[in-house]
Amino acid sequence: MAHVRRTTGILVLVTVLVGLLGAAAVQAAGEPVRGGTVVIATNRIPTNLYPGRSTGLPDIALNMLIYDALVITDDKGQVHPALAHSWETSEDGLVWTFYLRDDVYFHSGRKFTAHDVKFHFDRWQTEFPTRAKINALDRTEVVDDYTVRFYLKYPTLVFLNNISQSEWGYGGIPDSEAVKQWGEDYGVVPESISGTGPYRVVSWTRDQQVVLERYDRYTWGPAFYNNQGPAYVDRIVYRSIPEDAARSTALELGEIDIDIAVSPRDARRFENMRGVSLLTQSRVSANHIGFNHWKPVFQDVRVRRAFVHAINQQDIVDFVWNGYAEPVCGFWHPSVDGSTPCEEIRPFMAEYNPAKANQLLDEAGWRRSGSGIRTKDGQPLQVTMYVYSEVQEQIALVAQAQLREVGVDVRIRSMEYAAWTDALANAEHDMYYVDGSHSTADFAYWFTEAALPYPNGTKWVDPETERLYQITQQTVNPAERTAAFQAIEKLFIEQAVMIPMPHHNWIVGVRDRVHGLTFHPIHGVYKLLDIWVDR
Amino acid sequence: MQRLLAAVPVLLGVSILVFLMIHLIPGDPARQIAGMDARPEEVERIRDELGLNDPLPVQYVRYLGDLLKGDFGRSLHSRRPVIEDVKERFPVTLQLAVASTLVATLIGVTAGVISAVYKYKLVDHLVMIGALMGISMPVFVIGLLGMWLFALHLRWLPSGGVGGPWYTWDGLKYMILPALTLAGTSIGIIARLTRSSMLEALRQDYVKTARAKGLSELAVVVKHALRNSLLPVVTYLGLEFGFLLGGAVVTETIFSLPGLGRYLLSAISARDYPIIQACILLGALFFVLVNLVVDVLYSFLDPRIRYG
Repeated sequence: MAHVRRTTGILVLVTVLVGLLGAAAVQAAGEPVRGGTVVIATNRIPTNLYPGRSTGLPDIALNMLIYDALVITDDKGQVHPALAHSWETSEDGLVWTFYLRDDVYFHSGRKFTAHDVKFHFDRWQTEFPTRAKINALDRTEVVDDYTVRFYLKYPTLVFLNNISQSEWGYGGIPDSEAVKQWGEDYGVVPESISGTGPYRVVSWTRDQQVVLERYDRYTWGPAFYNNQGPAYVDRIVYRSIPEDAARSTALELGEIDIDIAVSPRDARRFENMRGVSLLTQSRVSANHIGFNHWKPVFQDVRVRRAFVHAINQQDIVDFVWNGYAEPVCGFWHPSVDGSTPCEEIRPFMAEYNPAKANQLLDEAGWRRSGSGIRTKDGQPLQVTMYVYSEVQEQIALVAQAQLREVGVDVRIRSMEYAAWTDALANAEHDMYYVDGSHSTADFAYWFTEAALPYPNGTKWVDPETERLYQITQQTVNPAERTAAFQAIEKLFIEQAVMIPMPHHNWIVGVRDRVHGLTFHPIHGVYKLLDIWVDR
Repeated sequence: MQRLLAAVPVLLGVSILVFLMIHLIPGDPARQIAGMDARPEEVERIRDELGLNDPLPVQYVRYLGDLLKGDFGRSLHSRRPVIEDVKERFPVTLQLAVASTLVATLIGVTAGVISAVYKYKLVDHLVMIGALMGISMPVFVIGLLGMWLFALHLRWLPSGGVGGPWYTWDGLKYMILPALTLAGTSIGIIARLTRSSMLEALRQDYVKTARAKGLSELAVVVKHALRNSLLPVVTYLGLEFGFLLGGAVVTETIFSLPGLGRYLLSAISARDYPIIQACILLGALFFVLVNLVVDVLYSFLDPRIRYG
């Protein structure tokens, strides 16, 4: 279900708050038609299509189309059967048994069995940079051709989520024979790639495009799609167009059918353009300005709360995101398990209130000086914020102006991403801005001791946070896990560990010839089983 | 031959410089590979596996050893052999470099000659204003304006990407806008270079002699004055072409061309050391080779120049 928002008199935008309201869908006009090609463009390039090997977003998006995993999560976070038709856990939560479908074939024509599952998990666990996702896994056992059993080191509810395809596609199972045959070239040479997904790789021109075609044997699609396969369209062309303006031009010209990365700046141009619709949905983001708690100035909670009070989120929504964002309530995205309902968490939040910010800073001993910048013991209240992208710089500029109002002098340091990660690891910063999407609240890990020096950029180390986080990771009781995440959120908000920032929208431009496009809040086009085009 | 041998120390020097530079700037490839959610011990493990914890001299010698065997290594991220990547992208960069150099030479030299012949007339002023604009406008402005006009409004040309082989219209049409964009600056510089050295040449005695013996003005300008004025232009072109073979980042990005410039840029962001090293080394190699060719061209244009 979608709700309609009028931004100006003429234009109507379909805004879908996913998680709360369900998947966004372009209205399907009439019956699906077979055939045709859909050209999808994004701003980045894939590098390696072996699931689990690369953390790049285009790689992950393509792996969703090429592979299947044992289970898959729908857009509401519900786990569904995929290559496994059912599963069970032992009483102590340490043994997980998955019963596999016996009618699944790889693109190479080989039959999929439990041996492929074991092969993938063995490699993932020992060789891949993403292996931390299955830290809990001790070993994998093939019971018979269609039964596979995982033995865990400790019980955890995260296991099922982390092996589901939705967790960045790492759990996608490749054809073990193809992997053995191609060695290091698997996932790099187009002919090597063999999965069980609805689309197979035809060609791959580096930095340009990957061409996929429908896998005609595919009939094992997840139940939350109307169509379980084979897909309707003949071909998917996944194209990389790095420049925002060029991608918009290509969409306007019809050179591409879907732009999955419309910039807020370019979105305006499509709002009342014929032939193109905009589809927006809230990103399950963790956007925040983090304080470096090792810096003496931020060891005073009054100062931290004053900073939060000084930020007017609506300005950032309006001026940086062009309206394509929602102010945040609490810290976790509302669709994430463990988020507290807005009305419950609001009393604990330091909402926009410059007077309150001034008062707190006064109390903390930071007094206004002649220049308007506060000082304490002769030291000016001057902090440096580290950012790594153009949009982050714009956000930092707004925050800078707002904090200047309450007597804080913010310097902005804009750097390249790799250098930024180093700066955070070395704790050079006073504050940082970060954006990113997370399907669950498990990234609370960022605020634990184990995540020092990076990604724990706040350097927040707190016994209560550690205790609650351990509960979320090791409990087998879903309600307990949810409660622990809620407690963490409340702690973060009360202690003003960071300044939660607006959740920006995913803006997708779609040509009218495209129908049945559903959109996952984290993974965008996901498996493209219902999509079809006018011929 | 001697000059070719002289390139060896140059390349060795480049390899050391690049190696030191990329290893000393902040940014850790292991952290980029592991992604944001990785545990610190995971990052450390990757660093170990990649040999990044070894002392720099050890890493350099290992790299040089592989290089001498003709092995540029594999990308740290994609695990694809770097040489395969380069082979795929070089043709695009070469096409773009050749096309833009041809366009720049044809338009630039013609404009410069016209300007010199009609010195201080209206056409001279117009050409020089145009040249100044070409030099001053940033590449991305020319590119986006070109895309707006020729792709979006007139719909004559595609907005970006690559098509068929270069000798077919389907391939050529994708190269026109990028080539013009990239040539923008060069056209201006070449026009100004040509004009000033043409003005110089037209004052020489041999031009007077040529005119005196009754040659047509066209023959005087093209055969006598122009040929002698081309030396600075050729010098500039050599430098520019060599430079372009290393990739044209902005143009490739605007027009989504899969060339070496974008490849190098994304490798730098990801701290993909083998790619950065290979691209810069190859860029230096092309630069040396092209300038060798330019030296040979000198002696063709001016027979007085000889190399021992």
